[in-house]
Amino acid sequence: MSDRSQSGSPVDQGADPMRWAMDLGADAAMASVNWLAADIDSARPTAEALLTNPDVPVKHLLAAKRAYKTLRIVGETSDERLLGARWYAATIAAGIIHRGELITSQSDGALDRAFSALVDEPEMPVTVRELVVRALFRLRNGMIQR
Amino acid sequence: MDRIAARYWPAIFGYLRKSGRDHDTASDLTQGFICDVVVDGDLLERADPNRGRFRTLLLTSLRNYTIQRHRHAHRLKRRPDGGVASLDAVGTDHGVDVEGDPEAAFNAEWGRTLIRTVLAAASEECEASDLATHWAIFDARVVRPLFQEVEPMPYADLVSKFALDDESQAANMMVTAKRRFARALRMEIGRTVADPTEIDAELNELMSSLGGSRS
Repeated sequence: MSDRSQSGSPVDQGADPMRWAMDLGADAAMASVNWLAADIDSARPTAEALLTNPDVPVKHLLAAKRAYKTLRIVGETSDERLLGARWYAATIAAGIIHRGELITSQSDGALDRAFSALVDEPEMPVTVRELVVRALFRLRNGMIQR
Repeated sequence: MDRIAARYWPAIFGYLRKSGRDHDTASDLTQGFICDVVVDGDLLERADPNRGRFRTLLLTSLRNYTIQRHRHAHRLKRRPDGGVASLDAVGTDHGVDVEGDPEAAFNAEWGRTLIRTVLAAASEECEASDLATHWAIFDARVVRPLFQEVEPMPYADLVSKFALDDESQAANMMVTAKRRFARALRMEIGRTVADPTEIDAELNELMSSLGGSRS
């Protein structure tokens, strides 16, 4: 994978592993969430970037939904599992807003509870919370087709 | 001795070549430095974590060594065995070509060697922890594409190859191995700095030396 630094000189492949180690040091649980996003779309290396992209393909959302759904079960730590659950719900919200699709079979009640928990969650990025607010509005106003 | 040479040779040699020495001279100096300073001089034992990073200590020692060797060679030139020769016979090349950035070359090679070392160690650790499949997925999806410029193996193929439930399981297994690698890299760097709070600074410097930047 060739890449260029801002100066235009080639970036050594070794820079990426250093970045992974820094990600882990900054927030180990969030690192896993972001690495799953980067694995789906290397051009969107964070979960926030992936889910707030208005042109995000449905296949990416489906892959993210499944990945985070699994993370909430197999995550190494309770923080990871908690983030898996949050980002799973956020991905469903992104599907509603960006693609007008409901990419889950979860009931309206379950979605309402999940979205409501995210709306005021300070650890979630504001951009994602805004997405969830809009999805919650559509859910409560019968604007989502199953 | 072999392990020490393998560990530090690339960075030392890279520095010396970038400082203008030809291949053979750089090779001789590298060998001399490792033998005289690192091994016989007990540099590893003398390194005091409280006085900063080992990488910096090694680089400083190398710089001093090359200056000493240069002065020694220069003194020998000024006192030839057969007496003072005519000016015509005295060589005019007393210095070395210092173009380029030897320190940047040292740091970049240090970083590359570190990554190779930790990849090997993390792979063994995963093998020993019953995570061999996790590592194989990480290798196929991340490591090989990164270092060998090949396409990542599709998850569908990995699911089939390793008889997994689905692609999301494979993706999470990849992340588990990646986390192990990142943790191992942090631990390895932790051994070379005075304080755990310096790990990120060291990572940042090494990342910069490899042309990357913190996004």
